[in-house]
Amino acid sequence: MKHLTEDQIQSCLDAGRDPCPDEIALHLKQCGRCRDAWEEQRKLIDCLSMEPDFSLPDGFADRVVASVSGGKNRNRLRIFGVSMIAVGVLLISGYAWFILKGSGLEKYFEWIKSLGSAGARFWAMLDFAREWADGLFGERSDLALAAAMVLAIIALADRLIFKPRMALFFTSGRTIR
Amino acid sequence: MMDDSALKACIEKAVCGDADAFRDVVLAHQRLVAHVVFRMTGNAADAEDLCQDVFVKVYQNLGGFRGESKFSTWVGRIAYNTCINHLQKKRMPLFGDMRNGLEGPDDEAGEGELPDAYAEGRDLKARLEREMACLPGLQRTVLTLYHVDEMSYIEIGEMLGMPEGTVKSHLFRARKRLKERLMKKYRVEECLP
Repeated sequence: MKHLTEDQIQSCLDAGRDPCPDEIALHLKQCGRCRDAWEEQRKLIDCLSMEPDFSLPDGFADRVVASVSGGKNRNRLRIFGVSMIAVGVLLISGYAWFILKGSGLEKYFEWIKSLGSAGARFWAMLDFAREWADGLFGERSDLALAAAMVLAIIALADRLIFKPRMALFFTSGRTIR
Repeated sequence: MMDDSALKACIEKAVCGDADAFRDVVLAHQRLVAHVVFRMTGNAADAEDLCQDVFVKVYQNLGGFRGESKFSTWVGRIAYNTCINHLQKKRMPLFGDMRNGLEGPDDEAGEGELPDAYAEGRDLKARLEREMACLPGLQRTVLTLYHVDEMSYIEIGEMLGMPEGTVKSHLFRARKRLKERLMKKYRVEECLP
């Protein structure tokens, strides 16, 4: 039998074959050179199971938890902020749509005025919004409402669906060679 | 180490926002992540921050873990991809020798180290670490995952996104190179116990 190759020795040791296949065992008994190579390889493998010179400090897990909790709160705030903007745009657009279409629905909201100073302030705010929407959208307020709704849906979907999915794709699904 | 059912329960709780459960998940996997990150980057200074980034990504994607592979393999894969991105950003060699060109007489005393200190630190572990540092990051990682974390070729392959044969080839090549380097520098009898 020829001398054992390094790959044969490594395969044999990795497979934990003890005793190794008959022809290899026999060869090892007869060949001092291969026996030395086998022993060197075995010792190297024993040494390689030593722990690396790096470990994470105590309290690392607590720091990670603190950082993800902070991130979660920031995300919640962002989602809340985007939702509020979307709701605001929808309200203003809707208000503009009702008023500017001349649907006569305004009269149904006049009871708000009877709510005292808070009601009056709210009505004044609606008037301001009406003027603002009138100036901004004009006769195209129905289109503005539709566009605002689409934007709001996209913004929410982006926060709640697309970004988490894309993050998942980029962090765990990618294969780099 | 946590058993599978306890880990599954922790993951489910962590997905629902239980911070203590996520802490347990981190504790159970921080050793593996530290090994991957340290071996891939070869830099202890960056390793801790990178490990934190890895676990933040684990947390963000926890809901997407479908159990198609072992959880540890999935976490290790996130660690590996995070390291690849880090090395790409720093324009460091991904799979090449981190210390190319250091072989030769200058390499004897180690980088920036006094000969006395080198002589004092000539214990086996220090020698191995020194020589390991000269291997490419991927080979160092495969060696550590196989020998220290006791993962199989298949698990390492799943984690690093490569076939079993490629893992084996990296492992064999790394051991061969390491042995050659150790033999070249030290006498055979003092090189390995």
